[in-house]
Amino acid sequence: MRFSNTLKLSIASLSTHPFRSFLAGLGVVFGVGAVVGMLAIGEGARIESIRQIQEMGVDKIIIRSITKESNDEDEQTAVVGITKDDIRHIGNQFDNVNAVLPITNWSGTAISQWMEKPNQQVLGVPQQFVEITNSRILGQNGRFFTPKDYDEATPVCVVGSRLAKELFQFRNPIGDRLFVDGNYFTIVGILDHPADRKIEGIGSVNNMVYIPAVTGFETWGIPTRGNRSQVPYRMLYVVVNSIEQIENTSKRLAAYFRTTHDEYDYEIVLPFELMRQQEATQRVFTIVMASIASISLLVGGIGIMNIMLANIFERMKEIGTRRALGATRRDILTQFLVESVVLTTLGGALGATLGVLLAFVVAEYAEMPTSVTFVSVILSLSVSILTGVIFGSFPAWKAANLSPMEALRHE
Amino acid sequence: MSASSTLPPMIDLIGIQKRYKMGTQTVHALHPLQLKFHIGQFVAIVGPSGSGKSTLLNLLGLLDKSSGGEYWLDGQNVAQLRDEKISQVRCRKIGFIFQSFNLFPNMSVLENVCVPMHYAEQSKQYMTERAHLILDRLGLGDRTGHKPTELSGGQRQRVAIARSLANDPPVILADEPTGNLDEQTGEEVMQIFRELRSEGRSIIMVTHNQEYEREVDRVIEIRDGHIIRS
Repeated sequence: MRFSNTLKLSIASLSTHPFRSFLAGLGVVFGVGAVVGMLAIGEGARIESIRQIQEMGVDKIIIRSITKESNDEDEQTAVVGITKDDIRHIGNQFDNVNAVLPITNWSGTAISQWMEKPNQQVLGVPQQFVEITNSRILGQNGRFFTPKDYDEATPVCVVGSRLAKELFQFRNPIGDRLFVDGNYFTIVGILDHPADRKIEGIGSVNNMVYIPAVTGFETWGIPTRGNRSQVPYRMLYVVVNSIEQIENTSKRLAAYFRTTHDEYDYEIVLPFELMRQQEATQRVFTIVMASIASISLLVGGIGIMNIMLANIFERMKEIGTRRALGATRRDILTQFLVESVVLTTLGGALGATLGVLLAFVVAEYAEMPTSVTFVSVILSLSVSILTGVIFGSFPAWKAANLSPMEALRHE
Repeated sequence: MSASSTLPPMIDLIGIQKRYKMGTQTVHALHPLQLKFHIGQFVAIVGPSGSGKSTLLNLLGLLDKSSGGEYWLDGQNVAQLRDEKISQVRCRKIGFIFQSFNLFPNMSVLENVCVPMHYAEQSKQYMTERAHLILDRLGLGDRTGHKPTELSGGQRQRVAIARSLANDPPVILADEPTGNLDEQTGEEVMQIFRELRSEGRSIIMVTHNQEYEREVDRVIEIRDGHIIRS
């Protein structure tokens, strides 16, 4: 029999009992739906975490000072973290390092014309800060710091976009003054990161006051807490020539810090490495979730097999008659196999639609990022076709191997 | 039927038999037999239930494998063919008619008649034309679009006869074809068979109805797996 006729015949047979066929395919519908949905959620989570890591900048190495709380009041010099010597050394001795950008922080009460905010974080930053963090400068005539600001340690500041709204009640603060611990700074710009990026261990970019680092040193000296020297540099961005150099440079940095620091008062973070680890972790997570979801596909397949077997028992006489009228074993095998494949393919298509819908609902209402990939849909559809072949084979084989005489005798 | 006797037989069974193993015992459903069926012969196989007449019909129809012997059909020994070949022989050489018609309920009359032609891989145009031709001849030209359930018993059996003729087979096997019909419609079916015989087809019919014995060319009577009259 021609394949097109077999296909027509199978569709006609399935539509004889539409509700039964629907129920039989339901397992595959939910199985494929779950797989597509899970893959979309996994992929969304992966993209999101990669995006977060990429924001740190994959061509950078971040070195952070670790502050330890010490109860010993006499301990004057114990915890220092990253020092000026470290910065100088890295800048001079590491050929493949493009820039070493230290960030210092102080805190104090910030007072605007309208508002007062205690414990406001003030970051002493290098000129490249805007580029490092992928931020932008807002505000009419707004600017970031110029080389002149650094040379002359001018008392200027840039305010994070959220903080600016808070302190200046939605007025344009540029040109206005901000008092921090009795020192005034002229506001020259507003810094904004569209996704409100967090700087690890410090806080949200849009919520800070920024000053040229040198201005901070002139004003307050090295940050102190109580009678003890506090960590002078909160973190260092080490910008490497190329991504290939990152691993090797980070090893050298680690070796350098090991020999020069008595204590583990620093931490080296590689966004690139983090990203690789994150990708690997996420992949495992996605595989696990998809595997669990595919168990329901397996159950769906078994459901199909069950229905097909019952179907064959019920249609024995039809099989016998077809054999008497000239159907070969292969004709019967194909007929029943095509029937189960049509069933699982339709189930798969419906399931994929359901999965896409699930991903959309999760993204919309659970506010989790999801991403339906073309590959996951194609994969699920192929798997559902395969399910039809695998679980339809045995019933079809059984039907094909019935003795025509026995089958005809069946009432 | 002296004229056809000079021609080679349509069917020649030489020592065909059917045995079953039941535990340690061997049961002969059909003892080795010699039978010839000629072109254009209308034969009735009679005998009580369990005598072996259905077994003989199944062997003739290649629905069951014989336990030994040769089966020559239209000049070809078909007893030991592979399943695929056997299906082809069934498709092109033998037309089947069943007691309970065995029509496909979800197909139209026309589609039912086309089924054997599907298996013979005929073109769609050929199938439609041929099905219409046969159905017209059997007086069902105005019923082609109907479902079998919308037809009377006699009409259904005529559809089944039309279907058996789809691939123009030289042999028609009928298993109690009038068993589910009243006397008058049964007689109509017998009339159709007589017409088919006159076209040169061999018709072999299993029947319980002794009345038909007078209407056929030859009666083969089976009892306990033996032919006692032929």
